Order: sequence, then structure tokens, then C-alpha cells
Amino acid sequence: MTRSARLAAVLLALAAPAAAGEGTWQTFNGDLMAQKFSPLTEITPENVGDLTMVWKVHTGDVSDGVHRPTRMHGPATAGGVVPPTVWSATPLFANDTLYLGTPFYRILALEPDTGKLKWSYDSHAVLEALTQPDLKNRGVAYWAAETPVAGLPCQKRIYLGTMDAKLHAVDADTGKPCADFGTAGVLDFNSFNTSHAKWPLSLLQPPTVFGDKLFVGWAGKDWAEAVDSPGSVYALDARTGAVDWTFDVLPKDVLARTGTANVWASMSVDPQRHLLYIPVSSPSPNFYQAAVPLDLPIVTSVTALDTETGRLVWSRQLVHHDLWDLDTDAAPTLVDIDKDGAQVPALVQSSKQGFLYVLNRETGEPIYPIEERPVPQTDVPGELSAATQPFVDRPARVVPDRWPGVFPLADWLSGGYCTRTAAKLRDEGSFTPPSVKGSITYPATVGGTEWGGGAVDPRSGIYVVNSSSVVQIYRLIPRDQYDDAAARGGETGGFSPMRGTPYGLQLTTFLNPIGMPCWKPPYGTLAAYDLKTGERLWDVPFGQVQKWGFYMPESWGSVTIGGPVITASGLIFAGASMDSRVRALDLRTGEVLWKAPVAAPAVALPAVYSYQGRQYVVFVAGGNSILSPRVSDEVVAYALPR
Amino acid sequence: MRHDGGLLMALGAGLGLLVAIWGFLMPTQLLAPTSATAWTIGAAVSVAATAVLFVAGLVLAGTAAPRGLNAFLLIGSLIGILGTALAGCLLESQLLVALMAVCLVGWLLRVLTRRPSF
Repeated sequence: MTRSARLAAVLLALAAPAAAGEGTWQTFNGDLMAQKFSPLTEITPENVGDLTMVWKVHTGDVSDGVHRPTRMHGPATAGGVVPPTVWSATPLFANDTLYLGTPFYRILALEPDTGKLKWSYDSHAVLEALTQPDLKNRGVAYWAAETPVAGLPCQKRIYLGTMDAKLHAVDADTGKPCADFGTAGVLDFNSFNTSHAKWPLSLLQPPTVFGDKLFVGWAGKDWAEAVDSPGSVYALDARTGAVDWTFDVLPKDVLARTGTANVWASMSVDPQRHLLYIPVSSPSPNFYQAAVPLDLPIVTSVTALDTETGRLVWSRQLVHHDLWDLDTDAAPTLVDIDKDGAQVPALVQSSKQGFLYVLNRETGEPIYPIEERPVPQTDVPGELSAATQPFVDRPARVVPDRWPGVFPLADWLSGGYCTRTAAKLRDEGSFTPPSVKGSITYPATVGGTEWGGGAVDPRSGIYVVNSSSVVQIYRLIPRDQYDDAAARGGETGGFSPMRGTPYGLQLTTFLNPIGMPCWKPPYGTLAAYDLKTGERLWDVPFGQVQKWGFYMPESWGSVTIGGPVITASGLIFAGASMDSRVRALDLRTGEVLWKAPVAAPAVALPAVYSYQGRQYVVFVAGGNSILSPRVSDEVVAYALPR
Repeated sequence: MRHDGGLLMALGAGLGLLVAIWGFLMPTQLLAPTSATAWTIGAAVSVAATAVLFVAGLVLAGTAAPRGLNAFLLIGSLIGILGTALAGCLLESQLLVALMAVCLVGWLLRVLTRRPSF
């Protein structure tokens, strides 16, 4: 790199939102380091009980999958019914505007203090379940030119991806397409889909913006086929959409045997070190990997790349030969921690398997030990399984090491169904492989920590993370029996065809016949850790289950999707719970200090920002079919009364 | 001629019916602004249960009911009161729970005070 280029890079790094300073919330995770930390202090543990709703907006972009939406955007499918919506968009606050992406793939620009619409942009995306069973959106990305040219449009831009693999760039002030980006403001991302393309490279997660680059991953269907599009990460020019570099996760010699290992979740950036951290998912197909080499590197990993070149700096595999769909699913949180008298550049990688991996983010080496331990071996003919898997004892796992056992109430109410079923299944603890007789899998693919990841107070090194305790049953079904079985349920019924292999898979959550979890609660928790020592400070059931309107006991907690944010005043804000309520908790104790009902589970990360001297907390309450059929198009802003 | 206990039960159930209807129709429970149960099965059940208790209370307030019906209503009412109180707990409607406590007092009065007031 030349001296001038290096200087420019440093200037860009200084301009980037390394932390959510000055009360903005410019990225999916609040800041590039995925700390989800706001320096704002107006709302405190003492006054948070006074928090009131100051505005509420319904976008109209919602579908329950049954009824025709009242407001349609984009081409309608037959009958006008579109798939259900899963809206997990973090609202962005930048440019004195609140920006939202919707699951009908529109961009909305709102006034931050009133919610009044400034402008909207309709991508006219196809509203079909091309790669996911639901219409998903996790928001938009924001970019601003370091040296804006007066009078020229698109010096600040908003980017929106779509299920049908289009990346749109519009002017952040007007919502007009940026003509210099792609073709008339739209980049056909599927033009990169050149190997085993069986579905479009869906852009559900907004790009990560650093300097003048957009880092883009994609989402697909890694449960459907044995061989499909290989996972690659793209660095695009923020102005033109031209490819700057590409990082291919899979080596070319395995592309005839597998695919995906894509990056579908958010990424983080160390602006000083110019390192991009990518959470890499597992290769296809999800649950049967006889054709995938046992020693395939980088897949199911956290990996660091040079932001300028895409060069691999280091990679740490978190699951070997992943047979459980334990995708690395969240951006690692970057934070410097005081350790043994020295400041260590660290990252914390949360995971579906429930481990928190605390690594030196320069080298990838563990700060707290990671130990390879023998794990149960597959009994499926032709399948392979890794002899060992990485385990972490400190910080403590966010879920128990073994499934919590049969819940007596659920067992009694079902006449012993839970006990009888458990006795028939293979159950040998963590990493029990899928089997034809059925295996108890814990934590399973929706367990541990999902894509919301954790949040950290960088001043104290206190890290907070929500989790889910879910027991699932993985049952491989021989190919000649699969079609009949799947015809009864389809992909949304937990069936994964894994075409091109001898097996399909049925994945069921371990419920009794009346729909009650067969395992002991709590079903979800929120925990705080001191990263300096690795000690868990507190661990409390989080959220509540609401069924038929009835709230289950608080001690049972709730499955959680989404994540927490922390403010400098010592508060945690989180939605994430099945009971469609948003909460504020005390960072010191985990005590719930405030809660409010919203229209559906608020599975998005909230945004915390300051506008004209007033602090706001905004939640998107969109729902998620994994948690509840309740969906919504609601955006709610809270502030202290004036 | 009337039974005060039955009247008290009808009063508690009648007010409970209003609270339950509020919980079924309005965005949040009455006096419980963090609890949202509108248009849910649970809230509908609480409406039906309090309505039945209200009618049962009125019948028990009179003396014209045959002995067998009286016994049936007393047993059914007790189950209804306790079940509705549990539903109130799970719906996070403390007001409904309190009104079911009023119903229970009325029920006890009805059982323990054999002589009707004139």
C-alpha cells in the first residue's frame, strides 16, 4: 500500500462508526465493532420506569401468509397472498433520519422524533419465498462520502438487499436511486451466482460499510441440496458496486461435492487494524456430510480478513464437520479487555452451540482456553464425524452442557409421552450426531445464541448475551421413505430434503402432544460476564412465553431471537422474547426495570439515539415464525416525558 | 328474599365480566398496562367464565332454585371462581384476581349463611 493510500485508509477508519458515538446508531449492530453500546445517559436505571411511547408507526409491510396484505408492494403472487414476514431490521439513525428496511423490501426514511415519513423507496422486489420460507429483512446500511461534493446527489446512501438478490442504492436525503451504482442504482448480485446456482443469493442482511467498501454476504437454502452455490464474501465499491475483492470460503476442489458455507449474518470491523471479521456458516447439506472432507478449513468458523485485499489473516473453526447446522451466526463483538495488567485486543464470538469464544482478534488465539474433547460418533452408514470438537469452560456456556431433562409437568400432562419418547432416542450429550432412530440434539440449530449476538460495555468489559434452551430431535429418513414423510409436512414442517444424499432429515422440537416443551425450563436466559476474568456475573430467565393470551411463569423464561443493547447509564434494552414485550434491565443485576407490550415479538436489535437533546429507544416489532405466528409491521419509539 | 352471598358473588363476577371484556377488546389489561391479551383465547375464556359466574351468582342469590341445582351451582361456581382466578393470574390481570376473591367471599357467605335475608 502506498503512503497516500495508507493515509487515506487511516482517515477513513477515523471517520467510520467504530463506536456508536454522538448518539447515532449507524449500523446493524450500532457500530462496526458490534458492541451494541450507546454512550447516552439520559435514560437511567432510576428514571427508566417513566419511559413512555412517543410515536408508533405501522408500515403496512406485513403478511401472515394467509390473508392478502392490506398494502401490497412489488409483484403479487397468485391470489395476492405472500409468504409470512419475518422482520428483524435494526433501525438506523444517521443523517438526522431514522432509516428502515421492510420485509416487502422497501426503504422508509422517518423523522426521528415523530416517526413521520420523509420519503420511501420501493424496490419492487418479487415477494416470494425464493430461499427462505418467510419474507425476511434485517434492515439497511448507510454510507457517507468522506469528502462530499456539493450539489451532487448520493453523497450519502442507503443500501437495501432483497430476497431476489438485488442490491439497491438510493440517496439518503431523497430516496432517489443512485444512478452510478450498478445499473441505474441496482446491482444484480445474482450475476455472481455462477457455480451450481439453484436459487438466488438472497440479500437479507444489510452490507457492512467500512470506508468506501461494502462487505456483502448472502443467504441460501443449505438444507435443500447437497451441492449448491459456494459461500463467498464480496467487497464492493460503495459508489459503483464494482467488485473490489472476493473471498471464497470453499476451495475449488470441493465445489462438486458441497456448497454454501456462506456468511448470512452481520460482520464486524476493527477500523484500526483494518480487519473484517466474518461468521462463516456450515457447508451444505446441513445434516449429512459424507461427501464433505473432515478437515475442510474455514467452514463453521470465525475468520478475519484484510479489509483492503480480502486476504485471509486467520480463521478459527468452531465446529468440525458440522452435522447439526450450527452456523456461526452473529458478528463477533470486538472489545479491548484488561487481562493480567495488559490490554488485549479481543473478540467474543457467541454461537448456537452456546459457547462464548474469547479470542485475541489480531491472532485468533484463545484468551480463555479452547479444548478439543472426544464426542459421540455417527452410526449412519457412509457418514463421517469429527473425533473431537472444541469446548470452552470459561466463560461458562450460555446453556447447560446436557439437555435439562424431562419436565415433569409436561410429562404428566401428556401421560408420560416425554419420558417414553426420550427413552427411544439417541442421547449422548453435546454433539450427538443425527441418526435414523432420532437423536436428542442440544443445543440445536435454534438454540444457544442466535444472530443478535451479545453486547458489551467497553469501559468495564461487561458482556451481556441472551440465549435459548431448546431441545430438538434430528431424525434422518432414508431417501426411499423421505418423499412420503415430507409430503405430510414440507420444508416448513421441519423437513430438509438434502437432495443428492441418501437421506433427508426431519427436525422436530421436542414437544408433548399439547404443544408444551418436554424439557425443563428456563427456555431462555440473559447473562452477564466479566470479560476480564471470564466469570459469569448473573444469569436470569429472560422474557416470558405467552400462549393463548396466558403468560407462563417468569421463571420459565422464553426462547429468544434478537439481542441486547447496552447504554452508558447501566441499562440493557432488549425485545427478543415470545411474549411481545420489550424490556429494560439493570446491567448490574439483570433485574427488569421496565417493560411495555408491542404488537409482535420484537426480534430486531433496538436502536438507541439522541436527537435534539432527547434520547430515544426504537424497537421494530415484526415477529418471527420460529417464536410465534404473531407478525406485525409496528415500529415504536420510547423516550422520557418532556 | 335473597342471599347476600349470592349477590356479592354476582357483583364480583359482574365487575369481573367488565374487566374481562376490557382485556379481550383493549390493547392492554385494565390497570395492567404491560399485559396485552386482546383477541386471545385466554381472554375470551375469562369473559365466558365471568359471565357464567354472574348468572350463577344471581341464581344463588335467590331461593327458588331446587336443592339439586343449588348444589350443582355451588360446586360449579367454586371451580369457576378458582379457575377464573388462575386465568386472571396467567393473564396478569390482578384486578380480575381480586374480583374473584370477592366472588369467593360471596360463595363462602352463600355456603355458610343458610338463612336468606329478607
